[in-house]
Amino acid sequence: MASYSTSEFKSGLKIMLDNDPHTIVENEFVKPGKGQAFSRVRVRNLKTGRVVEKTFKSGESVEAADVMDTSMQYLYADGEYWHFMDPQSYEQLAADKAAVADAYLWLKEEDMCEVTLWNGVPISVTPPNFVEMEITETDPGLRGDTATGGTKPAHLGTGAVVKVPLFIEQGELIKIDTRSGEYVSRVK
Amino acid sequence: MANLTTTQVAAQCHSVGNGEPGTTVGTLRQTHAALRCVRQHFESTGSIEVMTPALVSSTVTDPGIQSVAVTRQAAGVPVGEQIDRGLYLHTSPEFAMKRLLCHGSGDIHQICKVFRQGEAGSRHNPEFTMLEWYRVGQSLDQLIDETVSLVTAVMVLFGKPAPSRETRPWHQLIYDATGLSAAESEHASVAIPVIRRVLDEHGVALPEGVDDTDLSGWVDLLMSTLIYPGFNPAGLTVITDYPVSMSALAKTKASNHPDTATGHTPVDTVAERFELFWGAVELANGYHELTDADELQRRFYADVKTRRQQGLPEVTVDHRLLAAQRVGLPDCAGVAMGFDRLMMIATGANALDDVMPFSIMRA
Repeated sequence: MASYSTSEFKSGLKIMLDNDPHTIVENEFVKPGKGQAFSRVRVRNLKTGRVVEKTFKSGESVEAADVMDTSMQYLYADGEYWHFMDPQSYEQLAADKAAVADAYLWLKEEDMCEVTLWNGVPISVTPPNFVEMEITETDPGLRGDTATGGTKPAHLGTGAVVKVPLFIEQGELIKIDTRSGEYVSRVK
Repeated sequence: MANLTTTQVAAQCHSVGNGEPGTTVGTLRQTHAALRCVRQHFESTGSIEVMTPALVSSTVTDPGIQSVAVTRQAAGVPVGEQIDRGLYLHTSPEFAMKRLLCHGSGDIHQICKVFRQGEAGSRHNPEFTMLEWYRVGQSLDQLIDETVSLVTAVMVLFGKPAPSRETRPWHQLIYDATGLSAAESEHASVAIPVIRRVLDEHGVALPEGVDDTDLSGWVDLLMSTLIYPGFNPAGLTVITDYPVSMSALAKTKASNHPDTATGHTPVDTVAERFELFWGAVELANGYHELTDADELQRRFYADVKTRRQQGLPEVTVDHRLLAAQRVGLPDCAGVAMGFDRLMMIATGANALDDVMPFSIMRA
């Protein structure tokens, strides 16, 4: 089994802790001049997203997590699983609700997503930073009102609700930043 | 302990960039000015600047410091020569400088590169610049004053106000953080559960690799995570009166501090050692130097035993230093200061990478 020594710790490194895969967010080396060295790390659980602190004595080893970020195309949802395909091998994988979490709000068929695999199984899905989606329902637009800066809720087909400017109409295609869930622009 | 080699660190570094330094030209000029300021200080106080080898045949025994080993072949020493075990890069010029003192040098100082295996982070670099000096016939208090005034001079040089100074006996720090008396703090079975609880209460994740007999490991973690970070972030803190178990190469003396916990029972003996901090950043470590060669030998071999117990690399005891100290080390006080860290605090930088042109990730 591959393992990493604390001296190899750096942010982004994937390690196994308490039977779950984690990624190192921050690593701090502390040591009194004539004393024992420790690595204080902040790690994110790749399954739950929770960030916790851990302390290791320098020189200790930690099991490496077999975690891979892959670029996969989103195909469809069947009500229980979300299906993705590797565009090179055409291999298909199904991600469950725990792995997809809130990302389902921004999944559009044929979009390329980042799927994180642990031992070959999807554990998290990251949608593209920007997606284009159609508004399925919103209040009628105030034509010509591009200056007041007011917003109204707009529903997307996935269940997401985005605040959009008042002039946006139902049926229009808009661009959204999935990291903040905010409206970016109209797509013409 | 850390098993990082400098080559491993370098190999991890994939980002080549433009080969640019971590410093600005302004920082290079500031470093130049600080070096001149330091040298002027020693010039004006009659100390002479010396140069001792970085490549040495025996090294520090302290279990908390790991040396970078160099093979005999790499060092170009023919088979059959006196040196048969390989060499080390020095972790401090202390032993060689003490041999000069034993042979009549008088006050000396040195500014040199030293090497510590496995120390890499924002405030650690496996290679760094040490400013080390010795004053013959001086007391530890005199040396503390000189160290503080030198740090002050460099800070003032960079337009910073003269820093405040606070002195804290070691046992007082432990008592304030944990409520442990001096006597209690020396007993693993009493102190470790208390330290664990205090760390836990302050949200410090407890390490799994430190067992319930390793008192010094728990104390080091307490110091690094709670005590040092509690120091005045914009002033100097001097830790004095270390416990005998942490005397390193300092003399010991009867304490004049009462035990804080009880108010009356005096701490019998303390080490004449000090460390200087700026905020949580350790700047310097000094001793009223141990002169007794037999006691020095006893401490070396106690370290060797500890290293064996902890599975640390075995090191060769410096018999040349022992021999020189049998000739006689004059009564003296000595201190080592991390010059890069001094630059870091004097320029207000947050990491050594900002003040070293090429820290290990760029070296």
